[in-house]
Amino acid sequence: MKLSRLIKNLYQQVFIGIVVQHTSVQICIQMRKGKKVEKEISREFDISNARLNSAANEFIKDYMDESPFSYVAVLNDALNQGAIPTCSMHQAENFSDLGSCVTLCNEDKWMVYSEKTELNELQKRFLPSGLDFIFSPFFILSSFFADKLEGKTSLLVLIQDDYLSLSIFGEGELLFANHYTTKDAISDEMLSADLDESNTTSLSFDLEEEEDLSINLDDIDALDELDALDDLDNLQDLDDLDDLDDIEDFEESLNEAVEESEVALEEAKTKYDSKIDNFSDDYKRFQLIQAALQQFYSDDKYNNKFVEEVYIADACESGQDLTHFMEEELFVSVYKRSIDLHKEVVKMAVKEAKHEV
Amino acid sequence: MKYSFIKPRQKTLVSPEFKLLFFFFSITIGMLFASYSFLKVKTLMYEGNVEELTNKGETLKQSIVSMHEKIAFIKVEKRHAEGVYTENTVLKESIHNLFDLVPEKITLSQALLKEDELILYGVTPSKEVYEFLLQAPLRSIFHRSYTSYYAMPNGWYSFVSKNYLDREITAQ
Repeated sequence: MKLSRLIKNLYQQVFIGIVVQHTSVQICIQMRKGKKVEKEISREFDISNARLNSAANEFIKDYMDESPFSYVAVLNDALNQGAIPTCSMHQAENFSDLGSCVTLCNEDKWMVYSEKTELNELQKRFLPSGLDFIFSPFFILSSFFADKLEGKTSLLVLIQDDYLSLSIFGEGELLFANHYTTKDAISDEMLSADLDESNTTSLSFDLEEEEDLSINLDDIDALDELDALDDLDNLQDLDDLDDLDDIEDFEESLNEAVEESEVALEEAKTKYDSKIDNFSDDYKRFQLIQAALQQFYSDDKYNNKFVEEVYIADACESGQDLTHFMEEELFVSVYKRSIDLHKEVVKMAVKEAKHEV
Repeated sequence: MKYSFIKPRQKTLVSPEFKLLFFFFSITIGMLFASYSFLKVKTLMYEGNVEELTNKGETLKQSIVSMHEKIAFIKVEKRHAEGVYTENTVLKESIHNLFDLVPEKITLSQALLKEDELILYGVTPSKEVYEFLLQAPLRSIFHRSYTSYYAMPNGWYSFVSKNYLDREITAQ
């Protein structure tokens, strides 16, 4: 046994696994002495823009100070990442342009890649604590479903709050893999809803200095049933108004029309929210998976194997909708298993740290 | 197998602050040790010098003692030499006086001069000449004086005169 490994076993080792989403971060701290786990703590922090706040950084730093052998591992949240079924850079050109990517080969069969600039950006985000390991979600997925890789062609899906990683394995070989962000799709919808609200300033009538009444024409397009707005047709007579009384009358009628339009807008927003509910996160994920499978089936380079089973590693406690969607629409057997992603990151960090000794 | 896109940072048991502290402590301890060693070496050298000087002092003391002994011996020798010289001077004087005592008419053939004794052999024309001219002064010098005469064919006398000094009597 090497001296450094002996010293490491004498000291307490701290493994910190971090999984970052856009608005939250999950941290798992595992304190080990040799092979024995002495303490394990999990904590979730609310953050913004996938950047750790001071409380989260403080929490990590406190446990890092416990031992000189502390390792910080994070799950790669880069958008431009994936996995391809070859370790040959020459063959890899058929699947993706890896010119600006860092690649890692697994058992000389398949490799994961990630954009270099995004990895640098991730390291910059973790400057206060520093990073020791950045793991690909595809490694986590393949090790989590290690017993399902051999045999039938299976689709493995890792679901996070804001990301979705999927890979198709057949007889131990990776056939297809892709990584998506579900946050943009959802947030775009949310954002557009917010924008609708804020766009009310786009068409405003500054009748008086202190009043800022507005009508959003974009929203009006969506509100076909707004009868109240029919009154605004009378505005065409605006040019004919010459005296003050006519203007005051016009102002009153306009105010009434605006009030009525605001009420209509509220009703429309409520209706829109319910529409978003209908197109839930699960459906978005289903759409992404469906699109990925279509890509897999349509492209000749993937040998047109039929996916028979789907294994979902669920890290965000999603509902049963996704399972139902897939079973009904794709005619495949779906198995869902919950995954503590931050704990899996710690597990992989422990495994990786052993190799680094 | 490698799972991570980046390599882990180097883990060390000691922090950079501790390393800096350790470095300065090492320098301080090194300087203290160097000073201690320097002083120790100097002390040992000084002790060596002291021992050497002590031995040298002892040797000098011994040589002084031997020189004192030599000086004392030389003084004794000097005194002895002076005594010999004095005795010789006295003897010379005595011999000179003795020859002065002997008259022209008496011829000495042999004279034996001892510490307390003087024996003279010689020829005298007559006993009277001897008695008057030589015997009388000898008697005044020596305590006892005995003379024997032997007649010679030519009528002269050869004589043997034994004269003694009595030391004890002189001392008394």
